[in-house]
Amino acid sequence: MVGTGTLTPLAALLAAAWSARNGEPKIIVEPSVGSSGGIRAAIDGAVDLGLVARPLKESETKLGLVLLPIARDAVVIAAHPSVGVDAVSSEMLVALFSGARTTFDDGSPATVFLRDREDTAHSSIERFVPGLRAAREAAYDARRFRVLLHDDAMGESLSITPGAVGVYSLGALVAGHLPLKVFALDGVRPSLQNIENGTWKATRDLGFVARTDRLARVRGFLTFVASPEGAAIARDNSYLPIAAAAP
Amino acid sequence: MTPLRLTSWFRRRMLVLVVISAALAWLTITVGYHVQERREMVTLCRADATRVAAILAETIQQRPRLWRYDAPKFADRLGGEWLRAPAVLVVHDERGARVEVGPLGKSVPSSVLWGRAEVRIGPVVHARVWVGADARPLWNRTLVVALLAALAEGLLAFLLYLLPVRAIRTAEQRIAGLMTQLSLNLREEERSRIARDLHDGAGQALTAARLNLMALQRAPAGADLQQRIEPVVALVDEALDEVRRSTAALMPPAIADLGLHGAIERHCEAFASASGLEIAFEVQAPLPEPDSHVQTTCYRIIQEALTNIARHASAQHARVHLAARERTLLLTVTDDGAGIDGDVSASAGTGLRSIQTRAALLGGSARIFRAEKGTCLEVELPCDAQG
Ligand SMILES: Nc1ncnc2c1ncn2[C@@H]1O[C@H](COP(=O)(O)OP(=O)(O)OP(=O)(O)O)[C@@H](O)[C@H]1O
Ligand SMILES: [Mg+2]
Repeated sequence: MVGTGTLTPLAALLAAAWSARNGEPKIIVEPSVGSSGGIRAAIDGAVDLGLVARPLKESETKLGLVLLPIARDAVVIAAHPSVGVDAVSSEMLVALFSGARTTFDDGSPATVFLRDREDTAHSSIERFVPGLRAAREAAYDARRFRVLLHDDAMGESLSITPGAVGVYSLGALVAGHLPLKVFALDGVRPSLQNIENGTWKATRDLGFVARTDRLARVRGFLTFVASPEGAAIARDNSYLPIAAAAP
Repeated sequence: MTPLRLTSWFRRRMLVLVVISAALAWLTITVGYHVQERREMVTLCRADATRVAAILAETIQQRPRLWRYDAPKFADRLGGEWLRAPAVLVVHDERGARVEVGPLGKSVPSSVLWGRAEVRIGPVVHARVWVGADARPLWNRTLVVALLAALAEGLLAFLLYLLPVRAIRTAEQRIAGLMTQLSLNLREEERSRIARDLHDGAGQALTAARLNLMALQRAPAGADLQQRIEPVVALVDEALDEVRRSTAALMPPAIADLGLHGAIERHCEAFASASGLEIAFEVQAPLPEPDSHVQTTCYRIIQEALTNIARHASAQHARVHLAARERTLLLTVTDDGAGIDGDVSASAGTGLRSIQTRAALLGGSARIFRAEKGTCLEVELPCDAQG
């Protein structure tokens, strides 16, 4: 398996549990190459399953790929543990991304990290924060902030840079045991419960993609993922399981 | 007198020279610029490729199996941070298959300069990287440089050509004027010489004859009449000789009828019988056919040289020798007389000066010097003389 870094930690846990139970076939999770990389690797047959954090494009479906939804993940604003605040408003967030503000409410300096333009985490939160997209686009053009290309790089940069703040995945944060501070946005705190009850709206559906001719090889694993045992692993790591039984 | 044709001669050679040197300079500038810029661009591309290879090596170490699926992102990062736009990136894996790198690898311009580097981890080559720069702006810049250089070279060539040609033309006009003046002077000098000859020679003799005749008129008729008429006859003969010589000098040479060879031959014969000098005329065949004014000059110089020998050398023999070296006539007149003395140019009278001037007007030369026995006159005359 290879693909988006958002799903990689959960996929690794599921693969470990599957291997512990069944032994064969052995499932390996490679370091993340992004959703598009995962899709192409699946198309090429380099892997059996690609990990994606976005829907398939038409051109990709045409090549005989199926998308199997696995879990819903909260897109969160995460910060270095030393940051003195634990909540932001939409306006504050836009101000930070547009460079209008360079400090948090407690006056400590803020360092924004961005993901690359195509990343879906940004767009899912921007649907609910007016002005954030424009601020982010301007930041790319002005090269205002460092741009990170992978979720794991983002997690690592946020954890080692004092004052760092950026868009990250709740599931990847919990599953990866990252000591990050997760901000409440406009008074709502991201949590499994709030994803489930719909109060935390910035979410992404994560899934596996597979070539139809390769499905047979991984059917057992997919059944395991959809099983209560698989769902429990997802929940334990703040991913909301949405897996259906394998086709 | 035919024109010098110096300007047209110079023009023809100058034009070729100027055009060739301007073209060479233009070519050097344009090609030099292009090659230099190209080399610089390739160096930059190579440097970029080396950096890309270093970053790619890192990516490959992190994702040894599936790095190629991360390549578009990797290329994206390069596009944002490293490469000079607009650049092209081509990556081949260890088997030489092309790796998808997203937009950077897609739009390959029609003309690209490439820099290459290998991605090595330890001794193993994992991939090859080509960074390309669009060469079209370079071609455009080269075009501009070529146009500017052509303009500058054209202007320079125009000046380089025009200025000397104008100077030469002015000089040629001056030379032509001077030569006309010179030949006019020559004619004047010859006239006054003939006048002087007639006055000094025929005039003196006739005067003496007249005095003698007047004495005869006053004297009583006597038996010694025969005796007293004799010197008068001699004086009149002398005057007649002088008149003949002068008219011969004035007469146009019969070159048109007899050819140069024949005309000289006849003059030598006539002069020998008049002066009692023994004259050998030798021609080293074959002679080129000189222009008619060159022939006339040659003839006149021989006339003057023989006259001088008869007058000053007290010689028994004279030798006229005509030869050619390529298209130059070589005339030598020697005698076995007393020999010319001292500094010739200082003592030169009208005769020697006219020899010198005639030769010079044709672009030739003349020198007279004391030989082992007697005097030697050497003259060189170009057959296709301009003068
Ligand atoms: N063949 C010769 N042998 C010896 N002396 C010569 C000979 N030719 C010329 N000279 C010397 O050179 C002088 C210059 O000669 P040039 O012909 O110029 O003048 P010219 O004969 O004295 O007078 P004219 O002007 O009538 O010719 C002569 O006076 C004579 O002394
Ligand atoms: Mg003389």
